[in-house]
Amino acid sequence: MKKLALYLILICAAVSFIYPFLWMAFISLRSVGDAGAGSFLSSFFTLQNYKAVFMEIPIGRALLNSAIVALSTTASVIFFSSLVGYALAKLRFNGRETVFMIVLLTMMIPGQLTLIPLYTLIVRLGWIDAYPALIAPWMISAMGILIFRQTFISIPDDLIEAARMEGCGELRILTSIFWPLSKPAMVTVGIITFMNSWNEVLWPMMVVRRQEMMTMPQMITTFSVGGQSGGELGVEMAASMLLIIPILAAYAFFQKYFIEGIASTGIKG
Amino acid sequence: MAKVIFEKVVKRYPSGDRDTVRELSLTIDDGEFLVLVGPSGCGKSTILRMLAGLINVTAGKIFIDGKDITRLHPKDRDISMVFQNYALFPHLNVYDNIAFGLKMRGAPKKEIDDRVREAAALLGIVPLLHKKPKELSGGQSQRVAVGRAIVRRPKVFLFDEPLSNLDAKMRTQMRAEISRLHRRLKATAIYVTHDQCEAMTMADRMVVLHDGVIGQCGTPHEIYSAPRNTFVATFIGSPPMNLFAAQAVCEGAASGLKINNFVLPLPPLTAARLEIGSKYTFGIRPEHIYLADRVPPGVNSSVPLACEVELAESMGNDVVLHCNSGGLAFQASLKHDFPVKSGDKINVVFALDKSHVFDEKGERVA
Repeated sequence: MKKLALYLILICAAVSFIYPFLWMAFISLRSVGDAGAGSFLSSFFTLQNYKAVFMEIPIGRALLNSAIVALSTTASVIFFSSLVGYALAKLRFNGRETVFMIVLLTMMIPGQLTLIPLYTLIVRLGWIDAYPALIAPWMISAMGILIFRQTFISIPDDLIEAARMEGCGELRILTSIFWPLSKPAMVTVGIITFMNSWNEVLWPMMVVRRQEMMTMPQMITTFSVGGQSGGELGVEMAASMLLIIPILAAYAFFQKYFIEGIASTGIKG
Repeated sequence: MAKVIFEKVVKRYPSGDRDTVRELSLTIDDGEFLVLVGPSGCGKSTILRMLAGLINVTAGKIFIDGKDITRLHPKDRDISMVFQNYALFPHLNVYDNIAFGLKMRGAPKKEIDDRVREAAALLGIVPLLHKKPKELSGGQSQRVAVGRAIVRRPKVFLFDEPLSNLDAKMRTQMRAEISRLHRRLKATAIYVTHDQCEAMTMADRMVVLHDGVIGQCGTPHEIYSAPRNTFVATFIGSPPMNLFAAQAVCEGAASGLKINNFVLPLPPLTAARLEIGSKYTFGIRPEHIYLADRVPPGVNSSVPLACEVELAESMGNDVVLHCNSGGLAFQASLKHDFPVKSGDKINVVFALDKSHVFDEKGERVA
């Protein structure tokens, strides 16, 4: 009985989480006239809204920009955060704990506080309307460092020493021993970073003005709020569906590692 | 292979208030199997790790084949090491674990394959080559770790308590295998253990360490039969050597040691080295104590000493008796060919030609 009640609660929670996504998917598949009807049930579905999105805005280019930015950011966060995580977990040097405390401290500073100084820096570097403006500020993350440090601490020192004896330098130890042993952590950092980068709207709005440099969320926001969608709910939802599909695909593919990583590090995204 | 020289090597950890290794000077000959033995914290693993380059030397120098390697990176020293916990890479199978060092050094694929298979055949682990470390038993893991060490054919092999995680039977088996392997490879090997049995059975020469200094260095037989001090005397040998506080006395024409209420006459050569009236420590190994009526021929025995058996521990072949004679407690290890039980009163004698005398500082006198 207790188990049944527990399952009922979990089902209710799952439905409340999934409902907005289902609603968005159904609305995006309805014809223009049906979109506002408010019911899931419809006599037929259409891809008309998706066609409208591709006709109205250069969504392909935005998709490419988002892919370039999100993948570059994810790769660099995994590389640089694991480098720092390795140093903080396994190398002995003066001030190691202080550096770690400073890294933790940066996690407590709201991102909005650093927007203005970052923007000023980007302008001075002449990176407005260029990929470096979208990638460079997010190439390393405190959250990534923390996850990698916690994971690497649990790897026995004997393995490092054995690898050193067998001819590895520190970078080789990281890439040949620590990375393969930390797949869940890498996937966790990867998915969280990819998701954050993919969904980022505010920063691209600040540093990108040319349409051909816009990322997906920026383009869709401009499209929906800026009036290009003509206020059509179905078209707006179709654009939003296009935005979330890559995230869902990545999660579905790496789900096992992601859950393992979150469970082992105790950190949520 | 190679000759290894430690020249006044000192190690002090940043957090320590004293030196863990104090001015160690030691030469290990080409092809020698040297065992470093001592209790926990005596500095034996520190010495090994300094030689491996895993920790820095505070002062002094280390040479391999005349080349100063004190500041070299571990990978440039041409040394292999077998770790206590095997340190096999969990994500690689046995083949890749053994091949790891050769791959890192960019050896050709064909050579890697030949050498891995040769090492695996030597250690009898060919059927395990495709397995992951988690599928292996302790003994198999240790063989793989040894395989990884020998495949590179380094100048020096280091073993850091490699058998301590194995059960007693497997330990005995691996002990013999490592000894056979050493004889076959004729490699310079340095082996660290806290197990005196391993040290005695495997070593060409052993170093007993105490508090970061060499207590004694010599062949197992030298160390067993003529320990340099009371620490070595009690550390090597199981059960440990019995030590009694004593005073040199002269009774009539003969000199001897007074222990408790009885006087133990000593052989003239031993007695000549004692100063009458000074305090000494008398040592006798449990296996050099006999029942008074069962003394083997040719043994120069003491006068009988009456004692009570407080505890008799049967070891199968031998029996260890915990005896007490008027407050004087000692252990005797006797052949298990007579009935004896706790509470029995027996007479024992000491084999005087096997006895040891140490001065007040614990240094050997005779």
